[in-house]
Amino acid sequence: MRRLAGLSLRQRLLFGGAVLGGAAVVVILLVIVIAQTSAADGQPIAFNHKIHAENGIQCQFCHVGVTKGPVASIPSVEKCMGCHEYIATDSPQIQKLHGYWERQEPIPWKRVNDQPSFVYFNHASHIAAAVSCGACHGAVEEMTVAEPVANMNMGFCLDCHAQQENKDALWDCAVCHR
Amino acid sequence: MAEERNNGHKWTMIVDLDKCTGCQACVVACHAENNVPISSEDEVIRGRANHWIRIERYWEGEYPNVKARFLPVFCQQCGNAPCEPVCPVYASYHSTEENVNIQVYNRCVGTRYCGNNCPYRTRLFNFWAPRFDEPLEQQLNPDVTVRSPGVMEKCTFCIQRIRRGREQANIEGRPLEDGEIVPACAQACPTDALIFGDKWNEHSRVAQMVPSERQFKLLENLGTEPAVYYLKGGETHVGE
Repeated sequence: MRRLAGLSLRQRLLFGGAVLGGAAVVVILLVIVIAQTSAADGQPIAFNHKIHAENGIQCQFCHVGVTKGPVASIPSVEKCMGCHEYIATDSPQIQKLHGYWERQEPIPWKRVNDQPSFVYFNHASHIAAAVSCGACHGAVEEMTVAEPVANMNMGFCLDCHAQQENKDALWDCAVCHR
Repeated sequence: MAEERNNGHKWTMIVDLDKCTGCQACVVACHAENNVPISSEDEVIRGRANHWIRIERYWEGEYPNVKARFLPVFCQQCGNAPCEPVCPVYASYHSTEENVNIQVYNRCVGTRYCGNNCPYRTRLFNFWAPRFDEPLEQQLNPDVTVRSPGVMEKCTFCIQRIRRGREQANIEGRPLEDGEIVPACAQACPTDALIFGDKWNEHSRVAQMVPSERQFKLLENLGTEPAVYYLKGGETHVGE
């Protein structure tokens, strides 16, 4: 701080601004890094899609809403316990599940795929149009940790909508924005 | 941007002024369905009341033989809409699929040109962050965007219900039926004064009622081609 003593008020303000600006940049970068990693490794239970797919469980068995409406839905603890009351009960991850079941708490999963609040996506419409889950979610059956494979922005949606037969109808803004 | 008949739908509302009692149930239903923010008293006095439907009240006759007449006014979903060509960012645009005027909130930059060019004064500007007094904030409709400040909004004919109805029919692989899609206002109307449907479906209730002798449109001479038809009340002179 002694070095600052010889500077004018203007120079001091400039110096302070630079320090604050630098700090802000560091904080923003940290937030971005944390936001990108938290979904992948911060899940309350290390759920493994691959093991479930290898045992022949279809996506819809757990994500029951996917053929019915907008939300694919995350299975309830009860659904998990339907099998895991008896299967793999000695695994530490399944014991975590039993903990949630006994405390009657929902599992605080972290969202992996997200859309902004002004975008309205309907899973059932896409299933009805024979779009496979993997077209947007990638090979989830190979994933030990669920991760987004595509940047689901407007260009991603429209690239596919543009190739459809009823392209004009699918380009209407009201299809997604309400 | 005049409309041409296509494979889409021509969503149309009929307002039967003979049946409207001015109860404002439609206004309340609209607020609940569309996350319309509640304006404070001060804002209302400054002419910034936020309602997608307003009930205009007219007095007819001399005291004591006075009659109250009501005219519900909301976005007329013009076929040739004055709000559309003035938007510099295409936030106000005409849906060729639903043939209604859509406001894309996330695209709107708040120039308010559309509101100034609307002869019906049905477009509203969000001057402030939306406010919902307790416990109203717990009943927000998840199917509708809560508009941020600096954004224009207006009646959408409950586009979320239109889309949901169409998507559901699509999922079930069947054609859309008349009366399946009902906006919140028409659903809440106790006297069935509001009738909604697809005018291009000739079997719809709306298509059969439009050629009525009592029919008129608001400011029809402007050539805006509204999709809202009013049916005159028995003794009323509104629209003449």
